[in-house]
Amino acid sequence: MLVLNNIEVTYSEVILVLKGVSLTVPKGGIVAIMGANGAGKSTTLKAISGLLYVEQGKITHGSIEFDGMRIDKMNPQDLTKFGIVQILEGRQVFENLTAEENLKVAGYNSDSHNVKRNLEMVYHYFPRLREIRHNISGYLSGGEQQMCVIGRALMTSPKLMLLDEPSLGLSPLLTKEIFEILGKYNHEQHTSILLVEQNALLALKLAEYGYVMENGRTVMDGPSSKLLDNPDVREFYLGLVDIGERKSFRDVKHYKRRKRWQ
Amino acid sequence: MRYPAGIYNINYAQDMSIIRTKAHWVIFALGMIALFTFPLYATSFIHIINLVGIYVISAVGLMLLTGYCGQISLGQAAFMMVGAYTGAWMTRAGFPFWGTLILSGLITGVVGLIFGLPAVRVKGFYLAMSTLAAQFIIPWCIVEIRPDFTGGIHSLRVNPMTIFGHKLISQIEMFYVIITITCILIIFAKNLVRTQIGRAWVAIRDNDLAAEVLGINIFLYKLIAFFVCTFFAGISGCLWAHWMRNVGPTHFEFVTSIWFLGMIILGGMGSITGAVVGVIVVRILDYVVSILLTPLVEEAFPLLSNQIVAGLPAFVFGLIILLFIIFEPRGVNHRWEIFKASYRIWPFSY
Amino acid sequence: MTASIFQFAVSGILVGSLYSLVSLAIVLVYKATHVFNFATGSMIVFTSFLIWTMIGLGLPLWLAILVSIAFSYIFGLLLEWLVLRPLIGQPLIGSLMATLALTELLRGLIIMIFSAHEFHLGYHIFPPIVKKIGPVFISPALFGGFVLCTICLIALILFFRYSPKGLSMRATADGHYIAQSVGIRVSTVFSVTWGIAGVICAMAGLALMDRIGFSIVQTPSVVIFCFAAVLMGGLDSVPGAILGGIIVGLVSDLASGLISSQVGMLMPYIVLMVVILVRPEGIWGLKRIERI
Repeated sequence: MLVLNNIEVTYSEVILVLKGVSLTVPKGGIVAIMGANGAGKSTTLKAISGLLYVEQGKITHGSIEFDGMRIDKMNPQDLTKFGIVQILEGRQVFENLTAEENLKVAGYNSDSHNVKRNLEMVYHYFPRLREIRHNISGYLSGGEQQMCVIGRALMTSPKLMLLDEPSLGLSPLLTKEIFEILGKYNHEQHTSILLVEQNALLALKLAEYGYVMENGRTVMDGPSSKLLDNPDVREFYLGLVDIGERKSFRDVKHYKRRKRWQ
Repeated sequence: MRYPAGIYNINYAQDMSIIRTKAHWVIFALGMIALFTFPLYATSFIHIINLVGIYVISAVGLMLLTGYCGQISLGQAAFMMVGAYTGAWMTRAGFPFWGTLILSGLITGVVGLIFGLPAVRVKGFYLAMSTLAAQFIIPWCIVEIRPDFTGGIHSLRVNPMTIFGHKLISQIEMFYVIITITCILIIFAKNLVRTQIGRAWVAIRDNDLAAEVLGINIFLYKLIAFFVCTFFAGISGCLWAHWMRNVGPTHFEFVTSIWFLGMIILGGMGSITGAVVGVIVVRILDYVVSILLTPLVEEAFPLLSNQIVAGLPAFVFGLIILLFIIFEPRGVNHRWEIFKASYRIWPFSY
Repeated sequence: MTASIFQFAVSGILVGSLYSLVSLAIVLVYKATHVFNFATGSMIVFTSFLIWTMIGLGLPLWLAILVSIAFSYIFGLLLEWLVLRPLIGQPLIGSLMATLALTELLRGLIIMIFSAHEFHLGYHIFPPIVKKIGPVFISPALFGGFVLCTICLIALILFFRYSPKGLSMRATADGHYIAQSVGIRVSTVFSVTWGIAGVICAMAGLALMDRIGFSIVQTPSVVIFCFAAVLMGGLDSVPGAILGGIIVGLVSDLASGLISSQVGMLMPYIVLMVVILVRPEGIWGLKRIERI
């Protein structure tokens, strides 16, 4: 169970990006974070997985706890062995390695006793990977790369997966397939998932609980069914206004309604 | 954070200005007066100032290529060498000084273009290696091909500069010439950077694929950058030859190129002021090491005094550059900008 | 005439094996850390001084070499820890400048401690049996270096290809943060890489020391040959480095023998320019994969 307590994150000592974020991910649950670009969603994930230092970021306030242990000072490699793995934004595979080598290297460095077993498990969830396992991953298509990246994370036998925009650049069909696989994995292996996603509809369909972030703060949270019904979320993130009715462009006015959470 | 509170830009000219407020103009004028009256109160340092001025020209050129256009050049010393030998030879042949200066710059520019041609195929590290090759090929050509012209591995004596028939021998006379040329070239560089060319350079530096997609002909602009950088290096070399009155292959080694890169990193990449600051900082460093540190270390190890004199500057320089790269890779200029920003928004911390 | 061509060719190949060894050190560091180690020349001189000092202290040759290997490994670790570790994630010019600054620092240090003179061991390490194959003389130092290189080559290729540690190092080469996010202890990878590079520098220093002595002024210029070799073979290719070293050695020895020694000195830079213009990623190098 992951608990963020009022996190403040600063970049380069002068840019305050997260202004007191608190959230919880229950054990075996799926939680989604939504928000506009620049809201601080990736920063939240990087704060959890320890990759903030790369961009000169630091957690200046608050604490992060996982299963009761403080993890905000741990480095990314230790966190991976501990069971928290982040899937970075943008399908970042090890370009010059084959798909299978990508998976293996993750296995050797986190859960080295179960490499063979985890490999079989990954191929079971992503059968396409088995077909392309000897291809150099830099040349794979976007969808295959994303599968490779997620498979790589699965090889570490994670307790918590942090996914940063998994649908980026993928076709809707493929995105649906990947989200189904994620749901299946969560159901069978009881791995918690924290998901940052722009495709709010899909995210809320997969997740049980959601947070909406804006300007470094969580402005709304709730079970995903409630969020899906919330009129503010519907207008600003789902683009659903007056479902089913035809709208005249004469009626379209920018920000006809102010967001109620400000 | 670029300007103090209350200063806004309401037209394009203001946005692009180098000197924005009246206060800036006053400071600039005072600075120029102080600079040009240097000989009145700093006579003992004039030769250092001259060398700084010459190095500043070269550093500014390198800053344009490496700091603005993002192409690392490891051959700045070799290009200066071209300018130096051209200037030396032309003054020997009796050409007027201003013509020599311009022509050295142009010829060096052409040489720079030749070594910038690989930019059509490669970028980044590989282009840097091409300039590394230049750093060794150029001296080899100068020394080995027609050593009768260039004095071969021995140094070549240079005649003094002659302007309107008057031979410039003293440091103070040369000071005025060097400082004037330096100021003109700095103003030229600052202007160049705010034109389309400068913007194209920054685009290439930050993401050359995106720049190409936007329609910027990156090959052309890289070549322009190489030309301008080596033009500056040529002028700097020519001035150096006339100041030193002596040119030889040992003055322009690979080490010197490294020092130039170090200067612009210390000063802060990406700004002309950074180049100036970097040269001054390295000169101060050199002074501190040779005058202050060396005697101290020699006292500690009296048997090694010759070696210490030879090795200490290199050691300290390497150490300082390393420390800067590790702790403040954006150089002194960045710290200055942070300082300015922080006092402008005082008492808030961010 | 043919006999002398043959002579230069053979000596060129044998010298090339030395360049291959040093190119190996550069490629190793580059593969894992994406840093081009300009300081290799200074490192070779430094480790040569280690060996020289050990021998000067009276240790028997085999012990001196073993101790120097250990110290060279530590030297590599130290360099990595002090200089490269803080630079993870910096752009190209940062790491480039860092190794250049390191070159200067080591150069100054060596001049201060040992002076800029040329040093020789005073005796030969490899048994002075001058081999003669047909019309060709092969010096024992060259041959010794060749054997040393072959052993290192085979060991390293096997290591990178098949071992989990080698795989981790190749993965780290492709992305430091991604590597960290899957649990690779990137800092260990870097340390081991530099340590091994230090040991290779010691081995190269040993071979050079026997043949032509070493000095902080002369030895770094040998390393420029290796830069050309590395680029020709491909920055991330171990076999490419070997092949590149041999080709550069061949070409420059032939040039210096048949044309003049000055032209021989110029050859590596010409090779460098040609490689950059024709095939910058090297013959065996991995083409940089850029998806737009």
